[in-house]
Amino acid sequence: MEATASIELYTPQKLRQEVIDEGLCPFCGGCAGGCPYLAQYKGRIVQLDCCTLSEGNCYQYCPRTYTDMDAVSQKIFGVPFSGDGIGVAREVFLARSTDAETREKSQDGGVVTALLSVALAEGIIDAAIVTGMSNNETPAGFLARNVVTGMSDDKTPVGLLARKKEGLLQCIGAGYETTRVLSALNSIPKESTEKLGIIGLPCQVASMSKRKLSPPENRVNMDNVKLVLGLFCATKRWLEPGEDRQYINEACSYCWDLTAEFADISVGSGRAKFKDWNTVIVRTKAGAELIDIAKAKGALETQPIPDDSLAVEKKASLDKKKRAVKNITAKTGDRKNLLYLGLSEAVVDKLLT
Amino acid sequence: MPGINADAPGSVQLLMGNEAFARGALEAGVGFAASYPGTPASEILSTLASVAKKMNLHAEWSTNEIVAMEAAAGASFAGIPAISGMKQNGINVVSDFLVNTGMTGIGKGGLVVVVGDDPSAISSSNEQDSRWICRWMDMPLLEPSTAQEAKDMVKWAFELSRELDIACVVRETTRLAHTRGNVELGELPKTEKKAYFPDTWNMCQPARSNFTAGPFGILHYQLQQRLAKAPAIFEASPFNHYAGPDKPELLIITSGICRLFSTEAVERLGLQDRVGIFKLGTSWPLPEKLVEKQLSRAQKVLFVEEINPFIEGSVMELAASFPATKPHIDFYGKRTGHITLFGEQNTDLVTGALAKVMGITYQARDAQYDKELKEAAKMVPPRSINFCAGCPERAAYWAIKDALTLDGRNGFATGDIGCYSMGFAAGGYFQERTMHCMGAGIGVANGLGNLKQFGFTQPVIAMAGDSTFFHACIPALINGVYNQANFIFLIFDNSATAMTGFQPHPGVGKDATGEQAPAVDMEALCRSLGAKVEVCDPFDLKNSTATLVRLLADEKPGAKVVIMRRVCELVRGRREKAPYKMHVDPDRCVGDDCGCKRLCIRLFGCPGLMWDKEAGKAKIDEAICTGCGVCTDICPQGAIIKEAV
Repeated sequence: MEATASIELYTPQKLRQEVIDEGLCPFCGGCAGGCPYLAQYKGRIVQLDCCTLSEGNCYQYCPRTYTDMDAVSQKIFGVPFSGDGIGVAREVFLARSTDAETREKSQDGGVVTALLSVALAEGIIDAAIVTGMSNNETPAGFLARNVVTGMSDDKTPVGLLARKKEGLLQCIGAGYETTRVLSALNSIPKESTEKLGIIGLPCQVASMSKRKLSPPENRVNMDNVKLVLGLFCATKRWLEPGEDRQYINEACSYCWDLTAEFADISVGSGRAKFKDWNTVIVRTKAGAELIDIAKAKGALETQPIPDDSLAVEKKASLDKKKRAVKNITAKTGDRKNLLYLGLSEAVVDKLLT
Repeated sequence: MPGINADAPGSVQLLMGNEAFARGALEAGVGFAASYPGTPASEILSTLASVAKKMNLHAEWSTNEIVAMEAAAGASFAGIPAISGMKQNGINVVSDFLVNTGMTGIGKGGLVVVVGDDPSAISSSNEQDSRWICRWMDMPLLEPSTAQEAKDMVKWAFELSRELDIACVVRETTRLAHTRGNVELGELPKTEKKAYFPDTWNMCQPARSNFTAGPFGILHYQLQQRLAKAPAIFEASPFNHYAGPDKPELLIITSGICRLFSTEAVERLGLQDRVGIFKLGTSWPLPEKLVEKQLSRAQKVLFVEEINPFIEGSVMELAASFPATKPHIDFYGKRTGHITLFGEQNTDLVTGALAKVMGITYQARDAQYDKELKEAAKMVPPRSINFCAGCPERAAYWAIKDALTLDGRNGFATGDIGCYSMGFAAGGYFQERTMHCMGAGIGVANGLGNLKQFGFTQPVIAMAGDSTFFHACIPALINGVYNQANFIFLIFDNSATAMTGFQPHPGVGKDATGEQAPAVDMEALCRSLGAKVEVCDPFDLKNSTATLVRLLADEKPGAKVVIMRRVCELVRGRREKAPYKMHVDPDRCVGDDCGCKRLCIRLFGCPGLMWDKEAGKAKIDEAICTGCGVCTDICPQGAIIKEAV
């Protein structure tokens, strides 16, 4: 043991002061897992011990620490961040799985499960990190590497590694709970060569995008991540099951992203008008290739999205951005201080009007 | 080497002070010995236990000091010479009983209390001068200076206690308890002992027993009358003696181990012709005539004793009664700041005090020495007080730390003394937030756990060891159940009284002599009190952390018990081979980088882990590692590999 001087502000403390204590933490799990100092537990990130690093992954890849949106957008799409409606989109359509079992178990059209099944079957990925329900884990630092591969009756969302379609089917329906997908990713041994697919909420996809921009050391190689599927997300969050009270995470009111704009493919519900269908936004080349294969294999049934439905999505998405910027500037009292959001002046002007 | 029970009068053995006490008891014909372990006095009982069968002696580790003292007194009531040794804290525990034996007397057996004070609190939570108990309880006090005197004075203490019908206290301090000296053995008694309690009911002459204390005020008066016989006996005692010139410039009055420090100090300064030493072996009540005679030798007196100014105060009290015609005496000692009021004395300290009183310039060593010492000290790596490699208590503390942190309500743990008291330091992640006497952790939790009406929401984990559980926790646990105090009572059950040297206790199934004994089932006991009980293996960090987290969240009032059960790694290591062979995979270890930052060495802190500076990686110190395998579970990178042996 060594005496620890606490004069310097170390990374997890910085994260705590600037993000967690400020009510900005969306509980994406990007800082936890693979780190013995931070644990995801009952709707909060808990710092278990004092890390004495001044530069650490937890701070760097947090979607609520400073993010240069243009740089991220350039890295993923080759264009700056526009701030428009649903972000970069190659194609938008409605789709559903052709597999009856998948459709029956899923919340909407089962597109995520269908796409991941195809990706696994075709060897595009070896494992999918998805949301599952498992034992009510008590994280304790040392559990960092224990990526859960089983299921139990106690419904607590966790990150799971699914390597077969059956594994995916078990995970359907976990829906819009915040999950441990990223902490599961962080927990994968750095020498692993498995090709990975990830499914996440916009905050988790944002954290992934920061990793793509500047890959972490001593973590699994980001080049192994072949696929990022994003889920649409409104601002409601619930505590993990077992807690009786429902609440909205304040952090979500500062979130700009409805449609997981930095994903390869984003998937949302078809809304009331197209119940049992998914709205699908294809954003990257990798995303488009997967869609093509899925269609060719007959895994997806698609139909065009009507203009009015697309307009609703675009408006909702833009509104979320505007609301986020408004809420952030109200919090900081300074139109130039957007906390984590590194936006160009032009985009800020657009969103504040 | 002949044993402690060698029947060889006149032969000389090299004995540790505590062994000499045991030998003295044997020579006095002791038949009953009972103690609770406590440094520096533990070896008195263990030595007696080692020869218990051969010497027809009952020796036991009792559940606590007061039970030991009462048991010893019971034997004395029935005519069997009995002894109880304890550390200074023990005196506090037994005091309530002892004060009553002053009222009743101690029977025909003879009753000796040996108390080991621990100046500087080297192995204690407190520093205390136990001699005062003799003043406020009217008991005779003896202070041996050497191993020989330890043996001789204990033997005499039995006679004295029978003569005065009062328990006799013999006080030692750490250096006497644990250093060895030559002891010339005396005879071992050959007489058979027969136990019988004399004060039984007589239907024709019904009367109260002599062994019932109070409510008669006269009993205290009678005690004082009995004690008043002591000074006359002490006047002639060979354990008080003077050495030095007839009329020295300075008279040192000293007792116990300080007599040796004083003698060395006088020799070191070459003051044999100018300074005399009056060594007092019978410190209370004072042999006033003898003291007065010694005081008449000089006009300057220096008191040298350990911890409080006990003799200093008594002698000055006496001097205050001298007629004004007597020459004035200048007294030096703790009151004047020449001798410290706390901590151990040693020859250097006493030499410094002596030089100051005598106006001599004295420098123990030249300035260069201290300079070099400072440089040399830099080569010693900084170390904190820590648990042994593989200690289950380290693992338990890791779980406590994580559970309290995850709970997130600023919960904390209260504790007391034992190996687990090292939880106050880095070795236990500073998790022990209160530490007082045996059983205090759960006692204090009884208060903290009943403050809900004042807005108190912090969860409390009260901690105790298994031996401490039996010693002092059961009434507090009953209180917690009865008064519905909300706390978790965590028992570190390592199946030994580890801190004091692995003495058995009521839960382990062995007695003081190593024989099989019934094991008290602490789990069943706690359940019978109505407490919810869970048993965890501290090496299963996942389960123990989860259990604590779950119980912390349980706000139903009432004590909950968690038994962290895993045998002391040192005990296990003596019985069997290590379960795992450990190594660090250097490719996986990220050392100081993000994702670890040397967690295993910087925080977990098992001494079996070491840092390879050049490689920037952790590695296993194979000489120290016990192969417990726990560090595998704390490594975030899975770099610490355990292979089943």
